[in-house]
Amino acid sequence: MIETWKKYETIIKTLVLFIAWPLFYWLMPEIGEKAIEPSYTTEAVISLVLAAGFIVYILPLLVAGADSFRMFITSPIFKRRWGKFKTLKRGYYAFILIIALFVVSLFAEFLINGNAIMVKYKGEYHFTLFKFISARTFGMRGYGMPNYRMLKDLLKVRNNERAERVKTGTANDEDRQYAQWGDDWVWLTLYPYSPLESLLDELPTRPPHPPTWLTGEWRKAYVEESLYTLPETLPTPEEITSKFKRPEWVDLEPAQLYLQMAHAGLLELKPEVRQPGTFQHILGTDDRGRDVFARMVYGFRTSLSFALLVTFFCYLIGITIGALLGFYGGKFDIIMQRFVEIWSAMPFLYTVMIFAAIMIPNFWMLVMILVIFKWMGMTYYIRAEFLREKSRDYVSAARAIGCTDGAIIFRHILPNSLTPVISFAPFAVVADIGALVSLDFLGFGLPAPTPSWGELLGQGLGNLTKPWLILSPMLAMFLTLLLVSFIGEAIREAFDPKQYSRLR
Amino acid sequence: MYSYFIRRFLLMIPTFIGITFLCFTVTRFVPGGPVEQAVLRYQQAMAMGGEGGGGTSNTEMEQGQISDEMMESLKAIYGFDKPFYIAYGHWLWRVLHFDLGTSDTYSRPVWDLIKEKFPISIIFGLSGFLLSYLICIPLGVWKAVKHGSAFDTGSSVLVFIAYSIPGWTAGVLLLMLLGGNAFLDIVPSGGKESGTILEGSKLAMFLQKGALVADLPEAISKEFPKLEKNQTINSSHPAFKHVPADKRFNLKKGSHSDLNIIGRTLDTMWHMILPVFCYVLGMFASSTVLMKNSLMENLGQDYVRTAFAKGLSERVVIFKHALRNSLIPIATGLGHMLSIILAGSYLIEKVFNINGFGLLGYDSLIARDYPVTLGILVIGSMLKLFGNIVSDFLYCLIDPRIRFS
Repeated sequence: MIETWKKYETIIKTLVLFIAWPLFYWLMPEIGEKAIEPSYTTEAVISLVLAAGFIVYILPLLVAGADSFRMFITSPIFKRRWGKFKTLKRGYYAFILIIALFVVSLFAEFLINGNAIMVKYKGEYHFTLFKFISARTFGMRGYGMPNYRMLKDLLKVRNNERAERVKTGTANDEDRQYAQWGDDWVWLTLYPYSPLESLLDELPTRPPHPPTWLTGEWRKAYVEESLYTLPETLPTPEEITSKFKRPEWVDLEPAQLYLQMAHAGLLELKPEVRQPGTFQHILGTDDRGRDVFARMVYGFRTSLSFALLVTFFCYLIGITIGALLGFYGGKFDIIMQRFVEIWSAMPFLYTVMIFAAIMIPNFWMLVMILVIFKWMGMTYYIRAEFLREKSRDYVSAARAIGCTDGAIIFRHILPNSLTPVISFAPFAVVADIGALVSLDFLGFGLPAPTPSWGELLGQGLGNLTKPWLILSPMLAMFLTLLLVSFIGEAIREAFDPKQYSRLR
Repeated sequence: MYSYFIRRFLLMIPTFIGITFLCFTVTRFVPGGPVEQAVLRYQQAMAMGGEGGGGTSNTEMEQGQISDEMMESLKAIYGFDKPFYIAYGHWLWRVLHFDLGTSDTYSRPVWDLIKEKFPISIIFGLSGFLLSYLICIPLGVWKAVKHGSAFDTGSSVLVFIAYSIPGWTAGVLLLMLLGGNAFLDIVPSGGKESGTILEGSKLAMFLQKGALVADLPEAISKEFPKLEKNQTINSSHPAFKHVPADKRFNLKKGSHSDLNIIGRTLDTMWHMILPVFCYVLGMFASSTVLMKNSLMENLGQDYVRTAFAKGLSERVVIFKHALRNSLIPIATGLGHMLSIILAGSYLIEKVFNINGFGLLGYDSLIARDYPVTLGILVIGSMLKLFGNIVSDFLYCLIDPRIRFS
């Protein structure tokens, strides 16, 4: 890897410069460089300087760090420990499962989305998944995004009508053209609901709607909205006993009788009510009528990528500072250690709450806030590892043959001191997911329409009579955290084995 | 040794200044602060008044415009008229005199607010903390003694489950299951005490004796001008003892304060069940595993081997030799007790609507009540700093081998 880097250094650096420049330019207003006059040239120059600095100073470090991580991964001791990890079935399968789920969730747009994947309309193919096409294009009203579920039904009806017309011989010009074009169709995703799409005008009652397979809950909701038609005459006692087989209802008041009948599903709904299918919304909808299952899946992706990013950046900073402290020691070590101590004395949750409440962050800013207050944990371990490894013979040998500090750090010590990184990472991921859920629950997390578990739990606390709003995020979070902690336990056992000798 | 602690205490100063300066600066530079909120409130009030009064005059004041002098005075009220570093200096000076300022929303000294809310959080948190130690230490010990047995595996499943459920989310779930909304109605749905106690409720049997104010002697009722004629007072009221014995009667319904001491305790405990369970759940996994691992480590030491070799029984070796040493990490955790409790309180008090320290912090953030926010930050970080020192101190106290330098 490092050889490849040396060979193509100039080309890679030039390439990265052209990627980093617009990236920094795009990031700049995000960070809030309000002090700079918003003129394009100054921003361009600043972003160029930043990108150049990144390439000259940071990029080689990152490459060297990545290379020492590669050395760590390919070392025989790692391979042996990884073999041990593979034998711990529970952790290994949890690892495979969570990786598989995460990869699948990265492609959630193709599986769970209100947008159709493809539409064929009047002989033309439209790739609608990532491209906005106005409803008018498909012969619907309005200029907004078409409702593809409705479009599918509509096109089916039109196709049938056309077939009818062709059969009876009253076909018009367009119908004849369709003989060439072929029928229209819509290719919907597997679960055609978006996490951000409010379904208020598609479902009959008020949100939050129960899971569609809970017919009892739906009947209660229909009663509340008075969507049942009452029979013209009151059922006679004979009818109740013989037809409904509920003799206990005979003495009830008419209102109570109708209520019981409605709950038992013996009343007819009003004709204009469109009942949802049994498995249309398997976890119901939230208090704005958005599909809960879609929000769960997207929330899983958000939570896990958030936790992985926070862990990655925390470890990046933690390893850098820990390595410097351990390797150079001396006054720098003492001063910096005091600083780390000061920094970690902040009440973590409340400080993050303050910053999040005041800044109203987006995803990347929230990652940044958490990283700023959370990077300290790893420094202690890496510092200790470096202090221990520094006094080993191989380091003296490397120094004797004239290795630079950089080479000693990156090629000799770092690959030997990355064990704590691996063995603490899963637990850090658990903590980060917990932190994100807590912040979202309190309303200081990701901004409003982002699908997240914590926000749904908050809704659940407001609607305690709607169990699906609480059970779904709880179960999703519980299973995710359980899988990650299985991984963590197995990794700890494989990488950091404590041999307890027992005397008995 | 002493110099170490003195140095630690001295280090608290820059730490404290660093934390508060950071947060103070942030609160100053972000839009939507107290001045903007006051302006908004003023404009809303003006708009409402304008609609009602017909709005004949056309001056700036009536339109809700704020003149420069008014803006200046507003800024002066909230201390925004000085540059932030001078304002920070003033603020720090006042904090050193135990004056945390006045809350914008409650119009009361922040110190009083905190003093009022703090004990509530401590009662809830401390019971949870102690209960978790009462459960986790024996469980951890037993798991270590029976390492590898069915009991160990079984309780490990429990530990995994507890680790994967953050305590406060279990609170939401249990409120739904037991709080009388969807399924069972066993526990109250939040708060720290019952608002009303009716004849039907089980607590009504602990209601105190009461009397009508009208039955008080003239001379006594003059001393309590706040009492109205048709009001009832309970037996904890100072005027009650002057009511003639035949006029006293058993209260049929009332509030938490009308309960006698047993009733009040029961009522509070009834409200504490779920929050305390959440605190315990939050600490359960880590404490149990810590205890188990610590004891396991000690059981592998040479001194345990020696103790076995000289013929001591297993009971004596484990409980007299190994356990005492393995309690050290648990005991030092006591130093962080308060900061752990407070960290849990932000979420648990929000879930159960307990009007304590955590909810105060949450509300102050929502209302942008910066004096309270900073006050809570001051208290929180002070407790954390002290906790660090206390746990170091406990470490020295328990384990004479440890020497800090």
